[in-house]
Amino acid sequence: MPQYKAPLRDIKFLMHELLQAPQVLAEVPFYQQNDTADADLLNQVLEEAARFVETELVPLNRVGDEEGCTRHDDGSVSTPTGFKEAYKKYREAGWTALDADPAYGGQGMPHLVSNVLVEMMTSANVAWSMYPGLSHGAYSALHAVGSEDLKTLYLPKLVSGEWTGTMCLTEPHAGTDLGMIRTKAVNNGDGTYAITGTKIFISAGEHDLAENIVHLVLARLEGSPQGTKGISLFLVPKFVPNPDGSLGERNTVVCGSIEHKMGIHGNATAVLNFDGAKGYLVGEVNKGMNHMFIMMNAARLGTGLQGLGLGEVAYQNALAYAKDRLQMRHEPRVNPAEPADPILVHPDVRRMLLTGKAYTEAGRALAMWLALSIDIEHHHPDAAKRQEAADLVALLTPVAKAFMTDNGFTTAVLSQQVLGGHGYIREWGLEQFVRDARIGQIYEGTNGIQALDLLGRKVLMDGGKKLQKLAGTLQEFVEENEGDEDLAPYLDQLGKAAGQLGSLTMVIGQKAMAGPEGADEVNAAAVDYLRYFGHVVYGYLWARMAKIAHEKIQAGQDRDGFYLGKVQTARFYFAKLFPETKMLAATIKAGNEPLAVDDRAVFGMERALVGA
Amino acid sequence: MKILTLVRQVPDAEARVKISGGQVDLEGATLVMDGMDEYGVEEALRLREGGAAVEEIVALATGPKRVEDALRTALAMGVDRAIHVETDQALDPIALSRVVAQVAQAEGVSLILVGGQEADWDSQALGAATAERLGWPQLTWTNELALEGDTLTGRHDVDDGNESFRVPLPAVVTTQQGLNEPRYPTLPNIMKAKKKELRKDTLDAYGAAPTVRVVGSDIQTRARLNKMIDGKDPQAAAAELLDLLRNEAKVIA
Repeated sequence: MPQYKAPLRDIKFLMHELLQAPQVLAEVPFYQQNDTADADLLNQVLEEAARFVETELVPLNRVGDEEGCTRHDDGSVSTPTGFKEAYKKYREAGWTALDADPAYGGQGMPHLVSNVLVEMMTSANVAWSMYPGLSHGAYSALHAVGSEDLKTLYLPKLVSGEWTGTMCLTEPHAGTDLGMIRTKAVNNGDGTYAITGTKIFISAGEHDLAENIVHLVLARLEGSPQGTKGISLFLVPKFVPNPDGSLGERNTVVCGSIEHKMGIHGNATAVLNFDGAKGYLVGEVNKGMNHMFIMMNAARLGTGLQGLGLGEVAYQNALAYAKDRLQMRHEPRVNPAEPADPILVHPDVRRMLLTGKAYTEAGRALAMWLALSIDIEHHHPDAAKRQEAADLVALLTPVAKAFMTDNGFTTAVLSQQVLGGHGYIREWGLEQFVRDARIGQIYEGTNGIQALDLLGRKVLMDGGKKLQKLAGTLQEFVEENEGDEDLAPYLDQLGKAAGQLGSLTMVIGQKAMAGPEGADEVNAAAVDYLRYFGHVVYGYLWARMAKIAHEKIQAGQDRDGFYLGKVQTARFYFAKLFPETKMLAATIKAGNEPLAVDDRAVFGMERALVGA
Repeated sequence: MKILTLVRQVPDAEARVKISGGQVDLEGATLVMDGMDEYGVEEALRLREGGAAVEEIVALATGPKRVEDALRTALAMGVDRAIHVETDQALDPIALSRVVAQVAQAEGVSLILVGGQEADWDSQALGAATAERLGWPQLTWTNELALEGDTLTGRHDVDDGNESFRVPLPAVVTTQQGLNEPRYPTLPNIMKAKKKELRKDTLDAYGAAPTVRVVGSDIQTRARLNKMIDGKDPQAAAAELLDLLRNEAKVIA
C-alpha cells in the first residue's frame, strides 16, 4: 500500500525562510488580533494537520478508489467505507474552521495554513479532500457577497462542517461556455426563487457525510438577458432550514445519477435535478458570474494544489521503491553483497525522480507564495499592498492551476514509470495517482482555458501592466544578486528568459491587434505561453531557494543535507527542465499558421471552416 | 487531586535517524510525543471527563528546548499547564526519576502517569524508580483504569491473562498500548494552549545527574540472506518455507 509523510521540512523551509510568513503576517492586524501569526503556532498547527492526514486519510485512499460511491433508488448517495467517520473526526478537531472568519465560528488562521492543509489532504486522499474543499469554496462566495440573513443562517453551519457546500455551474450543453446555461429562476415574490434545471459534474453534490448540503447554483432569472450578463447566483439548500438552523422541508433538488469516472472515485460527481427548488439570491441579480469567480479563483488554486499533492505522493512512493528495488548492476557496484543494485543508482531513474522533485518543490513554493499573497490581499491595512497582492494573485492563478496540474500529472506518470510493471498494478497505488491527477488538468476550467485567461485577460487586457510588475520583481532579484558566483548560471538563464517572455508577449499582442484573425493568434499561442510563463516563475523561485540554501551551507548549517538537496535540485531544474523554454519560444513564434490547415484535406470536413 | 503526566519527545516511528559522533543525531528528524506518554495524557483527561475530582493535570518534560513542542501537544490535548526542566544533558531513567519525584511532591500530585515503555530508551525503569523514591505503589502495563474518590481500580496484562487491581492514591501508573485511543488536539485547543503556562526550570534545581552515559550508538542494519528455495516440487518447497519461517526466522508458531 502506498505511503505518505507530509513534507513538513520543506513546508517549514518555505514558510519561515523563503516567505518569512510570520514576519509578513505580523504586519497584518487581522492575524495579530486573532493571535494567528505566531511562528510556533503555525508550526504546531501544521504538525497536527500532518498527523491527522497521515493517520486518518491515507488508509482510506485505496478504499475510496476501489469502492467508489453508491447511489440508491431514492436518490441518496453513500460514500466509501470510512469516509463518514473520518469527516466526523475532521470536523470535531476543528479543521473545517481553520481559516474561516471568527465572526462565524472560524479560527481566523491565515489562508497560507489552509493551503498547506489542502496540499496534504490531496496527497493523502484527493477524493475525500474535495468534500471539505467544495464547502470551503461555497463558504468563500457566501461570505463575500451573501446577505446578512443568509450569512447568519448558513455560514456557522458551513464553518463547523455540519453542512457541506457545492458549486453548480456545468449543464449538459454548457461547460466552458457558461453563458449558454438554461437553468432558470422564477421570483416567488416572497424573497425566494423557484430554481428549475439540470446541473452535471457536481463534485460532492450528494453524499452522507453531512445532514445538509448547500448548493450554490448559477441560473438565469426570468427576463434576464442571454449570455453571461444574465446569470445570477442562488443558494439552494438540500433541506430548507428553519430560522433556528434546524432542518426543515426536503427541497426539490435530487441527485439523478452519479458519474463513473477515470479517477477520484471516492468523490460523488452528481447530476442534480432542480425542480422548482426553493432558492435564495446570493449577491446581485445578473452578477452571478462575478460572484462565482470569487469561488472559482480559490478553486483554481485548490486544483493546482491537487497537482502538487498528487505529484508529491507519487514521488514519495517512487523514491521508496527506487531505493528498495534491486535490478541491474551499476558500475562500480554499489552493493556487491547483493545480486543487483537499487535502481535509484541508474541515471534515467534519477532523472524521473529529480523531475518530480523539482516540479513539486517549486510548485509548493508558488502555491504558498500565492496563499500568503491572498492573506495580504484580503487583510493588509495598506491599500497599495492589497492591490499589489491582488494583481499578483490574479496573474498567477491560471499559471498555478494549469502548470501545477500538468506537472503533477507528468510527475505521477514518471513516478509510475519508476516502478516499471508494478506501476501498472493496482496494489502499488501509482496507477491511482495517475488517474486521480488527470482530472486536475480538465476541471475548474480546462488548462487550455487557463492559458486563455492568462494571456488574454490577465496579460494583454491591461496592456501587460501586471506582467511588467512581476518582471520588475524578477529583474530586481537578478540585479541584486549580480556577481554572486553560486547563482550566476541560474540568473543568466532566468534574466534572458524573463526578457524573452516580454518580447514574446509583444509579438503575440501585435498579432492580436493586427486583424480579425488576431484572436486565433492568441488562442494558438496561449498554452505554450502559459508553460513558458510557468518556467519563468519556477525558475525565479528555484533561484531564490538556491540563494537561501547556499547561504546556509556556507554558514555550516546544513547538518541533514537539506540545503545541499535544494541546491542540486535547482541545478537539475535549470539544466534539464528549464531549457524547455527554448522549444516553447519556437512554438509560440510559429503562431497560428500551422494550425490553419485545410479542413477538407486534413479533417475530412465537407467544407473549410477556418483554414483555406 | 492533581495528576502529573510525564511527556517525552522521541523520533517519529518512521523517522530516519543518523549517527554522528557516536550519538543519535536528530537534526532534521520528525520528533513527536512518545506514543506511550500520549496514552498517559489521554487517560488523565479521561479520568477528569469521567467525573473524577481532578483539580489539575500537569505535564512534565525534561530535555533541550525542542521538547517544548511535545509539551505544547500535551497542552493542546487538554493538559492545564506544563513544566519544562530544560537541559541538554541526557538523563538516565534513575536520574530522571529524581526530577519526577521532586516535582510530584512540590506540586502535591497524587497520581503520576508514565509511559510503560519508552521509544527512546526502552528501559521500563522510570515508573518503578519514581515509585520507589516516593514510597508509592506502582501499577504497571495498565490497560484499563478508573478512579473513584481516592481509590484507583484497573486491569493489567500478565503472561497468561490479566489481573484486576485496586489501590488507594497516591500511586504511579505506567501505561501501555490499548489503554485508550489518544485524541487529536482540536484546533481551538491548539490555539488556547498557547496561552497556558509553560514553566521553565533548570536542572540544577533538582540535583539530578546521570550516572549512565551513552558511549556509542549504531544503526541496526539488515542483511539479506538471499536464500532461494527450489520451486520444482511445490509441496516440498512449501514445506521447506514453513520450516524456515518456523524454526529459523521464528515468525510463526
